Amino acid sequence: MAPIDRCLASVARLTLSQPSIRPAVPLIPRFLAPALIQSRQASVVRTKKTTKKKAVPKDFKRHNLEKREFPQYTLCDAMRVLRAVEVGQPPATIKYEIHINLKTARNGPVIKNSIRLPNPVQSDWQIAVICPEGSDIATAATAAGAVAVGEETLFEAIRQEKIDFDRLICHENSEKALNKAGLGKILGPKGLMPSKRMKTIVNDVVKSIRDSAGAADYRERQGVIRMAIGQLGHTPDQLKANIQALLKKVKSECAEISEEVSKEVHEVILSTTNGPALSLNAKLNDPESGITVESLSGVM
Amino acid sequence: MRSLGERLNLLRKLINIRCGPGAAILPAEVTRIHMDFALRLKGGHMGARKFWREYLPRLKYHNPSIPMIVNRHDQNQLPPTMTIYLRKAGSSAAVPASSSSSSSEPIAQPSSSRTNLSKAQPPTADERVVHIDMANKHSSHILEFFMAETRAVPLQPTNEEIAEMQALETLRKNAEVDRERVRLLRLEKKKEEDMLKRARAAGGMAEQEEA
Repeated sequence: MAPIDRCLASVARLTLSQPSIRPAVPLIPRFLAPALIQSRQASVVRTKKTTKKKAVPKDFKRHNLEKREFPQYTLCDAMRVLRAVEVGQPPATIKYEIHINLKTARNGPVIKNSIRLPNPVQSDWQIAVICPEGSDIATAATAAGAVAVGEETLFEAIRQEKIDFDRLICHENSEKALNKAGLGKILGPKGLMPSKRMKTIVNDVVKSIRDSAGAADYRERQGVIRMAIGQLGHTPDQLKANIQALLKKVKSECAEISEEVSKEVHEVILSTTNGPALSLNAKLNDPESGITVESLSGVM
Repeated sequence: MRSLGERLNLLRKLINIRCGPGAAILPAEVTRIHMDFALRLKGGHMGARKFWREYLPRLKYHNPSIPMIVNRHDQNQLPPTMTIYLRKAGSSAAVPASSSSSSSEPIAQPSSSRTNLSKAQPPTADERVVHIDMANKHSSHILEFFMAETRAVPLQPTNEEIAEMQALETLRKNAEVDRERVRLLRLEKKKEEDMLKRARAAGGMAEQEEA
């Protein structure tokens, strides 16, 4: 609102100096020429065009695969295709991957855990242990297969970014030293920072090493759990055991986690390092396809 | 996340490992195939690699139980060779017994390697070998040799499969046209945006000078 004295001044100028500034309104009856009468445009407040962004749906989009008749494969069919695509590759380096699409909300708790597969994909983890130097725990840890043991020496190596391990376990007695060292900035992004929640600050280091040696991590990202599930050399039965073990664990976690949110497995997709992704239909083999489990078990 | 239609089209492309040159069923006497060539192409190793890349997946798809071993190394002076292990005619009479014994044989054969770890093994007692020299040959040429030596039965695509492949081909062509059109559109948009940006930058300078 303009100050009233300024308005008064302009009104005064209008009335005094230029008395005839307003054109005389031509007297055309409204009913004669409605088109000539101009509406007052200047005073019409234009509504700003606000293109509201469509609200992101709460859940991830999951299509109904049966309704869309999306092709799904039995495990043997999928393996036949994948083995054909990966023919001639060294089987130890090529991995089967699994993608579990979850029917879940975009926000909320996520699934994150590790699992010991019946047929491990990678067994030679390099484990480092933080524990008081020269103690019994340190010798026991080295005996169990840890590549690096210690407190200050290990912290110094980490500060210099000399990280030649892919698991880090901390003993309870060294927790304070670890917190004091302030390595979260380096270890955090790599996912190596020990924490009680991840069960990497433990009392029994040797047991933890033995557990995590054959274990593989998995976590839900964008509503999908992805992980390596087997080596190319595995037989259908081995792969089936791995997939079943993982799915059982994921399903039980889904049931555990959902108090108010619902979370369930929607689709299971098998793929390889260089291969296509094939949706599985939870069957091992279809007798009509004319391939046997044995034919997929041999050397590639 | 990829949409369902995108994923469907990717799966439709898998028809390329079902049909095409190399889609053939090998006779029962072929026990295994071994290919030996270098990682680098120098010395006529290209045909061998192309054979592996283009035709071997199709062969493997239609003969999933036959081991097909690829051994690659860095010795370009060696000629690239393919070794086909065939069961001898006499022993093929006792198929069930010999197949169980010979199926245990290839386990001695190490699986494919990139570091020259799985050299061709000498044939077992009831096997004979055929060597194909792949040096300086085109991959299709190698396939002809291979088909003649093994007497494999090539699979003819059915009418539906031909129609599907043609549909995919038109899809590919249309996609190329569309990609070009969208590229031009985006280029024009970017050009305009750049021009505006430059104009703004210049105008901003002028205003500052005035001030």
